[in-house]
Amino acid sequence: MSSLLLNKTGLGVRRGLMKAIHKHLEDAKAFSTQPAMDFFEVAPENWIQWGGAHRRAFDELTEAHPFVSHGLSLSLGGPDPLRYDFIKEVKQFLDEKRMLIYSEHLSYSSDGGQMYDLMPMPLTYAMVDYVADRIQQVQDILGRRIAVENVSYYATPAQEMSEFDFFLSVVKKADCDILLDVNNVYVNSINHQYDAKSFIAGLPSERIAYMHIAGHYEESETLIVDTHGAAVIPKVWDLLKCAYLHHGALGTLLERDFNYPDFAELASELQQIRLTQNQMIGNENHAIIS
Amino acid sequence: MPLSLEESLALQKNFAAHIRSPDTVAKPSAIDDERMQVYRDLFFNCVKSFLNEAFPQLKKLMGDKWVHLQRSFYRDYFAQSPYFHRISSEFLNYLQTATPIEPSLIALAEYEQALFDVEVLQIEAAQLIRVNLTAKTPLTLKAGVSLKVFEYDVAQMITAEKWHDVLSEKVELPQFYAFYKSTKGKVQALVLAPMTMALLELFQNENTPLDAFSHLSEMTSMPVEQLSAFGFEFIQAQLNKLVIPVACS
Repeated sequence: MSSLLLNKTGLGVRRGLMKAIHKHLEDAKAFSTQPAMDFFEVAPENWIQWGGAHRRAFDELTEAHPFVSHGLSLSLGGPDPLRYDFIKEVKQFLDEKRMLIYSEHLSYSSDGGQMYDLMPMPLTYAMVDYVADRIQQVQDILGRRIAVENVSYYATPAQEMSEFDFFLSVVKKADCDILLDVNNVYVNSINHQYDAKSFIAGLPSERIAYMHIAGHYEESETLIVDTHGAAVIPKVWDLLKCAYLHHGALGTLLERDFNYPDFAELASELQQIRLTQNQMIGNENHAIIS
Repeated sequence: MPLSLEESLALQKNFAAHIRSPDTVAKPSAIDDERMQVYRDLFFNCVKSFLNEAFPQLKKLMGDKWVHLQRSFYRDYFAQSPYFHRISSEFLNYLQTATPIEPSLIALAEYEQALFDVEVLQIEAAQLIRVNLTAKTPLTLKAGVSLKVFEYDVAQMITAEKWHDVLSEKVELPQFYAFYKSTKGKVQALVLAPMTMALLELFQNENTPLDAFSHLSEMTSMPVEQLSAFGFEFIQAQLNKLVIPVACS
């Protein structure tokens, strides 16, 4: 279990949320209240070479608060050679902005060109070795361990093993950390009919760097799309609790990418993360006392 | 028999190829169409939203044809930038190299991309410089200022309501623009007269106003005195906006 963000609550920074975040932090300062979040996360791809609106506010935010970075375009599992030029730009960004953690997705996003979204890995034995080797190369260049996220997926072009076995094999072989996306486990458990709690319980606690939680869109009873555009549903909150019971109240970050509600709603979801974490601390204390 | 790495990679490429071009590349046989539709929609919608944001006027003028252009870009062009805010410049590069639409519309796309480039440019807001500007002060363009020449009537295209209202032939006199960020951070497009364009181009090479007027005089056969009469006033008005002394750059 990673202690870096233990009991911390985070929010993904999007340009569309910058004003609301700024106001929330100003209000917290003015009224001497605790902000709803302890740390932030950004995609390097949205801020490297970006000098447009909100850049200054973003720079100020990174100066004043703990940040982690969550990549989108590395195409860890892709058929193209790794882009060393890009990885070096990411490294510079991570170092300059003092990012505590860098994570990427166990997926791919290129095919000779950028596709600008995440495609599912063929769950084959050959791909385990291939992607693990690429993760190691990235870790070598960055000079740090990275965390790899379990992605949501709707289909795979080949399946020789379960998603769980594939994910765990890659992580162990690459000797990297895990970004556990609790919503993705839920989405995939419906889309591919497996037991979400077993998936979570089976992961090695010591490798989990932090967690993600988000809302999704229910296309049908058997198909859920991971949109990050809605409130977190009760079943995913239950799953987060389950994750805490198995792995401890690890840092947890709320992702909201569009369809932004009033910031108070996001603050209340962040509060719910904090409450759930505090309940775990209560449980631990209780266990120690008894 | 487990698949080889080559076979696995081939599956990945086929998966991507189908998303790029659902009409011409068959979907992976092992996957239900409903599931594949999720990928087709998510991916194309993502790229479309970036292009819609960067090219609002091109979108408006092209009407129903806009989505087909977006599709042909996504299908045919292998963008290299990993940065989402560079999707629009990748798109412009596609337009310029593949020319899938008529040149006047490409000029409009260049205009809109110039605005976008200035918007995302990473430059520190420069301090306002107070100098005693003389005819012998070497000047340069301020960081982030870009000068563009258009051979089509972009001035009309940026306000036109429909494509039918637009002239698709080249204009007799090119249109000149300076794109820059105001001191308040707002993106500006300034229409330039041919003479002021020529003057600003001379400052790209760090000329003094006096040198610049001499060059202009050679180019136009107008007396230096006459040029400096209008030119110096223009330079003073543009100080800190478009030009700054070389010593301060």
